[in-house]
Amino acid sequence: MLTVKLHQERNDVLMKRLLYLILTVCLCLSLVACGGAPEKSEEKNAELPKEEIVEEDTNKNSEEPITITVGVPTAPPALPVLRMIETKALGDDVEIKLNIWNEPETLIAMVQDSEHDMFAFPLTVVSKLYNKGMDVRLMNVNTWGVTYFMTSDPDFDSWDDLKGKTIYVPLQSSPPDALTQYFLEEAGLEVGKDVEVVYATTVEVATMLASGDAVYGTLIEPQVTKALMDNQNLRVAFNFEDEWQRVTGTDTKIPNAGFGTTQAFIDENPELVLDFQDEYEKATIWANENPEEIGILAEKHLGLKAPLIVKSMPNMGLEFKSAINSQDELKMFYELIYDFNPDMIGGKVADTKLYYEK
Amino acid sequence: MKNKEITQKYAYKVLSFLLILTVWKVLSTRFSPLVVPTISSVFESLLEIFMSEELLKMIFLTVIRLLIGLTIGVGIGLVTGILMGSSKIFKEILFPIIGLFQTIPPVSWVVLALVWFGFNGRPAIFIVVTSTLPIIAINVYEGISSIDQRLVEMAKLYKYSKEKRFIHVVFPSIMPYFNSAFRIALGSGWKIAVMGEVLTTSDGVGGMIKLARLNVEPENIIAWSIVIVILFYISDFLLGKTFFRKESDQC
Amino acid sequence: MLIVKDIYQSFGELPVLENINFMVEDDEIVAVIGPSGCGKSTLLNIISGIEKPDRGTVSGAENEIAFVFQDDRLLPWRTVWQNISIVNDKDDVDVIKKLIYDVGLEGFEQYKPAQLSGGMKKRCCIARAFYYKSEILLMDEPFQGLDYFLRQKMLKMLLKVWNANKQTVLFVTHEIDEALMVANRILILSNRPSSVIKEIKLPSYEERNQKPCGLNGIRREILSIISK
Repeated sequence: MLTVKLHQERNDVLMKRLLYLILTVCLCLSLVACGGAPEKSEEKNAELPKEEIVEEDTNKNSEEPITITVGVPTAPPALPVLRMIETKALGDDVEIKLNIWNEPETLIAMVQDSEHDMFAFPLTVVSKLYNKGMDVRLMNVNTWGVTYFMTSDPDFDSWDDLKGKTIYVPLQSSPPDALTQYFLEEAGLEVGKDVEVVYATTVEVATMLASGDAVYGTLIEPQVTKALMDNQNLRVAFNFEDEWQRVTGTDTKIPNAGFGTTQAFIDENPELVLDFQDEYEKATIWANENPEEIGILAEKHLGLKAPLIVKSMPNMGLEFKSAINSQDELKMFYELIYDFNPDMIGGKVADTKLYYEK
Repeated sequence: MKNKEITQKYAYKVLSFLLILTVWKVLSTRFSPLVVPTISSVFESLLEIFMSEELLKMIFLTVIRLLIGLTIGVGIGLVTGILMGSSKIFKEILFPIIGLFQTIPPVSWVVLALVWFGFNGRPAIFIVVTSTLPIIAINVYEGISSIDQRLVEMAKLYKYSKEKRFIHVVFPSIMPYFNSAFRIALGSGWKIAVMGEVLTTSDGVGGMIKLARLNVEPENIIAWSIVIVILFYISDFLLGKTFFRKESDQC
Repeated sequence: MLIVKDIYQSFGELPVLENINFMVEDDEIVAVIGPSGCGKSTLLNIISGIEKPDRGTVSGAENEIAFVFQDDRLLPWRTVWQNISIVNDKDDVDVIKKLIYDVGLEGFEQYKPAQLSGGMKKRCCIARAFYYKSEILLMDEPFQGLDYFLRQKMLKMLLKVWNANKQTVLFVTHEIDEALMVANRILILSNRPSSVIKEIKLPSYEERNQKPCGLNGIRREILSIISK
């Protein structure tokens, strides 16, 4: 009798354990199913508009709404797009969706996935991607100059004063980094030996310069204006544009970043890309003429502070020039970096096929 | 007889290696080199790493950071584990704290560590400590709790001195627990150290991986990952040798 | 002299030992016989100081005590030689060698307990206990698992060592014949809760050797007591 009872009890325990196991498996499966479903429907939506465009490529005013997903940083190149969103510049049925990238890594990932159409590119990134075999195309250059070297050291005078010091640089392996290292080398300083370079995000560098934790640093707008406001002892030591002109012996401006897309997108939507290029140019001009309004838009879409945008607008270097028309400056820029550190632009100077042509 | 066994063991290892290479080759033909880098490009990167003094220095940095982190982590972990094992009060107080170290994601530690230590190698060391500490502490605690009380009774009866008791009863009981914990901590330590570097520095193996990502050089990412795998196997092998020796130590 | 007085011991609700009273003279060999589970091991644990009784006292067991445990309690990570030698601070190599030879473990000095059979482990425990010079020797079924011949050998060895060292020996066994061969006195314990039902004084060794059949009567008596 005792043994029978024991068997029964053991079975009960087994049943309980089995029940819990089944429960857990069901829970996991349901989580997976629920998690998967919304993604599927998003994919379907993204695919649909493209198909529509291919079918009716000459008729822009189709019934189906088109969504262009744009990858931008919270920085000057994004501003004209904001204007385009507000005015529905590409037509009532074209929606522009913004996705923010904060690190170049995020941008690189965005280009490689199939969900983003157009991008604000630091010029180094577009060159790297192109040279590594991605079919990216640069449509225009939209920011020039815009990079500054800041310090709170009143005695700082020239690049070689940085011997033995530590400088902070944002956007590793992008133009601000490339140019900073170039100017340092040009002044006879070896990075790592004579000068220590610490990489951090743009916000981190700005914060440290403002707090005084960093005494020397490279920075871009609009963070430059903000940092200057926060720290009275901080000043702009060098304007990279002036340094560039000194080094190249020209009076051109440094190209910094631009807008671009993939050849695949161009092939599928040639009219749309053309329109985008035109509208972007118009919006850029408008933004420069209407800093207050663009400030409001910046706050609304990107979370930047409006008064800061307004104040730093003149220093943002926002100016439109199509890539084709900027060939000379781009060539100069890329060759300079190539001589200095080819890895930063992907191993070689890109040929002109990189530039979008109508 | 013995030679055959050894050759067999290595034959299987070679086989699995060849299998990985084959799968890789197949994948590399079907996908662009940006997604699946070719075997030759990765091999080239590896060669470049081992022939460049600069790049070997990066490996050295990671190794140093791992060693320091492990030493501190093991030290604190041992002390904590022993305290928890010897007194119930300590256990009740310390256990939840150890739990914090186990569950707080390394990324959260990174943010704090950057503020505390700055942009040098120290946040990476700190993260290794946070991951090593709970592993060692908990396992040492378990080891102490699992000491066979019957052996302790025997030792008390035969009037073993405190020293004798430690050398012959306590220490050998805890060793297997500590050994396995250390092995685990070493394995995860490599990964954590590199991750810490990716998030907080621009040098060391992690810094190189970060740079490879920024420069769109997936072949370098894989090459550096292989470096870490090699380093792990070397360290695990060396560990096996030393601890094996310790066990057969005659007292 | 070992005096065990008014020992009571329970495990939770379960009383195991009740009103245990007996004495063991110096250099006496006393065997404790009783049914399984009656608390014989508990009794030895109490005498050795490992367990504390609920009630009662033990006197005469303050100095060194050697114990051959029922579950061996050898250090698994030390060799036969080391397990024996560790109990004393100085290694008396000749003595250890002789002991190992006497218990029949010659050749196995460097073996670890896991590599030994149950009986061999027991013999190692016995050697360890003998090496540890003590006034009192407690043994819990020390010859369990040994075949007849080995058991005879070990019993003879016990007597020999006892003759040389003169210890007070208290050992627990199932085997009545063991007790009849070696012990001076036999204590019989009852079922749980145990107390000492009967004490039987055995004839001297000479007598036993001369008249082996005389033990048969005692054996019958013991059997009849236990079977109740």
